[in-house]
Amino acid sequence: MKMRLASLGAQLTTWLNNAYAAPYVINSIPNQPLMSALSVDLKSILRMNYNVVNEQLKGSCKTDNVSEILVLLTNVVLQCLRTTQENHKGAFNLDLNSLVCSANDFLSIANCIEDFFEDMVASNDLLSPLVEAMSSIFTDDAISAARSTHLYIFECITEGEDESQPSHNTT
Amino acid sequence: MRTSHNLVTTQHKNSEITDPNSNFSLGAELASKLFSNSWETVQTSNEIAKSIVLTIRDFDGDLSTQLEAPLYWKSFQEQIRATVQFYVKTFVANSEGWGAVEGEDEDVRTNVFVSGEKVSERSERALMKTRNIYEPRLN
Repeated sequence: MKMRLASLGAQLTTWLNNAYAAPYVINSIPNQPLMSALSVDLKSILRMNYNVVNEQLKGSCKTDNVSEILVLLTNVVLQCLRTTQENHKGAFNLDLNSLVCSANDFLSIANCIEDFFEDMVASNDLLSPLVEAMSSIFTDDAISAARSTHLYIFECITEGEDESQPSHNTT
Repeated sequence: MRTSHNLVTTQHKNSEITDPNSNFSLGAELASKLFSNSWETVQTSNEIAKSIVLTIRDFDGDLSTQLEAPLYWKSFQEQIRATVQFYVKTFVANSEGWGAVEGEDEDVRTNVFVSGEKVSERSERALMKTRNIYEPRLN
């Protein structure tokens, strides 16, 4: 099973990287928050992974083993999400619009994660801290991106000085 | 466990969409005008402060609809902090050539700092260090 989880992790990382690397198309509807398809993509990747594992586990394991495997799997998913998010989040800070859009995306991903795991967490205590860690990766980055918006505003105000503001919001 | 539980929600402001790029000239070089000689003697009705506020409000009108409400609140808080920081920074940076010496001609002014710009940069670096230490604990 460990082997299986490792290969799942590798596959998940590839899928996530593809989702992040996809052309960043900002859906702009007047008076609506800017969004891209990233959160939807990530959600479907999660769903696919858990469906595959659930199918494989069905009938082949005892119930306590199933929950143990789910915890192991969720741990792998957490690591993958953390690494890919860490590697890619900087790429969204191109201009004010993509920064704003990425902030909304990250918040939406955090909400998706919580919705997705809601039922599983209810039946498995060990999952709860993992899921919380997962969603807080994205909540933190969403807040951080939202806070960075002032850099663009003041870049406009100090126009002429042409100094690149240090980005102190990346923690 | 809901994500929004630690985010303070705020009233959603309705304002028309404006292109921030169209107002670039409005904000241009406001930093060098603030606390300058003409700010002190000519533009005495807060014209520059008004321009700054207008520029921020322009951006803010967009952000209030384009950002999710709880995130907009975070952005807004940061804007207040950045405005204060901007004022202090500009004050120091533009303080070169201030301070008339007593007994001498009022036009003869000495520097408060050798280089206001350097002082401003250094104090910003110092603030950043402090911020890096305290910020993780504030969140």
